[in-house]
Amino acid sequence: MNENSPYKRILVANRGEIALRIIRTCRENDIETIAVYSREDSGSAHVEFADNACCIGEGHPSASYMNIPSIISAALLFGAEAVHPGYGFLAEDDRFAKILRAHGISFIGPEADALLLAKDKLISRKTALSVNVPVLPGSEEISASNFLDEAEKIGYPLVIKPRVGGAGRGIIEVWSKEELLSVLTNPAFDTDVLGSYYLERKLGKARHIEAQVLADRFGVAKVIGIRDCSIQKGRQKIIEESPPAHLGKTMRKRIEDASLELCSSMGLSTAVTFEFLVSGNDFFFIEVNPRIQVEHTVTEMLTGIDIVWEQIKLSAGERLDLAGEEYLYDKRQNYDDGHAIQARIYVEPDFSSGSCGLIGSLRIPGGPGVRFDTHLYPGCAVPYLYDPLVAKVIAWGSNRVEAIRRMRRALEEVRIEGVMTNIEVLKGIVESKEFRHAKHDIGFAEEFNFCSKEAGEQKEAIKGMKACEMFSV
Amino acid sequence: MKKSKKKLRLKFLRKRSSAVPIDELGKLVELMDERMLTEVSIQEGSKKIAVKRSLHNYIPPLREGERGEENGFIAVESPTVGIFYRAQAPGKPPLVDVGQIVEKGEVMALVEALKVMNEVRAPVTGKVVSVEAEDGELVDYGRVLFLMEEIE
Repeated sequence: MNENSPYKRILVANRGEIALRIIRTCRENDIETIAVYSREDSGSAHVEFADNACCIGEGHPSASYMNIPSIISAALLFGAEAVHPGYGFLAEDDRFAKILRAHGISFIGPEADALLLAKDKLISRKTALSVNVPVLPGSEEISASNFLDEAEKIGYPLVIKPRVGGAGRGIIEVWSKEELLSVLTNPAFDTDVLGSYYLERKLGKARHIEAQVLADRFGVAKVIGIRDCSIQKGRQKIIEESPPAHLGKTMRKRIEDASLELCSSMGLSTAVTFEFLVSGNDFFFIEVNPRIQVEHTVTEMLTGIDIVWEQIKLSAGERLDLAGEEYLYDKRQNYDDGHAIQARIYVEPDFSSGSCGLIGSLRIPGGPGVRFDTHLYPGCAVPYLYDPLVAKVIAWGSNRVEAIRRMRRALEEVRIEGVMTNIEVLKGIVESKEFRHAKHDIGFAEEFNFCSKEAGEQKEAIKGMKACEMFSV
Repeated sequence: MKKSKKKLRLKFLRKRSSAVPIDELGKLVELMDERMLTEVSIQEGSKKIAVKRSLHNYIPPLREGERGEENGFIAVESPTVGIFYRAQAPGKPPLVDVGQIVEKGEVMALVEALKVMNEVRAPVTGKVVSVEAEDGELVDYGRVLFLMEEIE
């Protein structure tokens, strides 16, 4: 029995690999878990891994993983003392945090009031400006009347961004005034909701650098890692690494200081990530994510810190204490010792069958320095309703070259049959000259030519399997 | 799905009366299903368990996928996560019982969630064939509460 666990029972309000990740930390610390699941997910791994499981609704997220009354009812009936929201779904819903608190249940994340201010990018930009942290040229609150004026002030190219939300959804790039006007008159774009958007200058060549911070309620905050997440496709991060290659000591210090300054001015006492764009000698704050992130694994690999566990303790109001012997972080204060890379494996949805497929055989990578986080198992169905992220390969090496070699080897080991994945794309990037020499920026993966021969062959194989299925029915 | 539901049910039963050796009872019932027995008893020291049933009202256990109309029965499911109540108030008789004919839309039971009583209404007009959950039990979404036989 772990005497130090602040909670005895936690409800995990998520699915997929992150639900497993949270359940694992809970099990290590003798915390009983309650998994919630949609009808679509009754065979999902998190249902199996948790101590208790409760079906909360139909497949669509709004009916299940975002169904607040159902989740709270389950939390109360099972006697959960805290709810971990993971990422996505309700992770940045301040209303959910508030309702939980009213029922005497802890929300593992920031306080509801701090969350309300942090999740709105227009407000967090203003906070940054007030503490002299640079931001990109951007607009004030926009409406149909000031839209064009604001855009002219910023200049083109620019992006129309939703104030709330993540994973790059809903972002529109605009390269000229004409294009902006055509977006406005497009019937698919609802001008009534313009108030929920803001405008920001688009940077051409830049790198996405972020700082992982842990902060407690007593004003103690620490940067435990800096990550480079510049390899993105369709505004989704696909490869992340730490420490960032070619990031000068001065720039890193400026980013760390800015992050700590932002953290205290936003009143965030949890695990939180501050995201920046770095271009030449300039850096710009873009957004804050006060929740566990998909790429937290990279920092865990380097430091030995269990970020989920720290997050759980911080939400219970405990003091931040990283002095424990178990943490490598404390031993090697600078995290230049070693290098960690994460590659995200996504499935490609097949809209004709309304599913991503059924996993056939599954080969999991292993060996020295490799971590593999997934909720897949042979025979499991991959519904198309949810996040297409199905696995994360994390490789550690004593330096960047070794980490890249290990990642390449691990990606070669992975076999996921029955679904289309981006594994070939990941291999292509890892082996590319640009990535090996760290010459990449946020536009690199978009322009990269992915059409490798293997990817084509894999496509054919999948088609063959689909045909077999049709005949066997 | 089946496994987790089983978990829910067992948990609650365990809380209520720790004296019932539920695992052994379960094994006995499985054995009865398997061999189509009507009566079985075992004795171990001073402890004796006997299970009897009549095959007259016997419904073969439903397996996953057999639920619903293919088997001739209509499954009445829980609309939410909550506590299942068969009566309007404690001490009152159950709203419906096995063998009873209910009209479509008639309230068959209640599921309490966040202090709100959610009515479980009959999806069709028909006869109640079985009650699948216990009064006061924690039920999750979609949990089968009753089986009904539709009357044309």
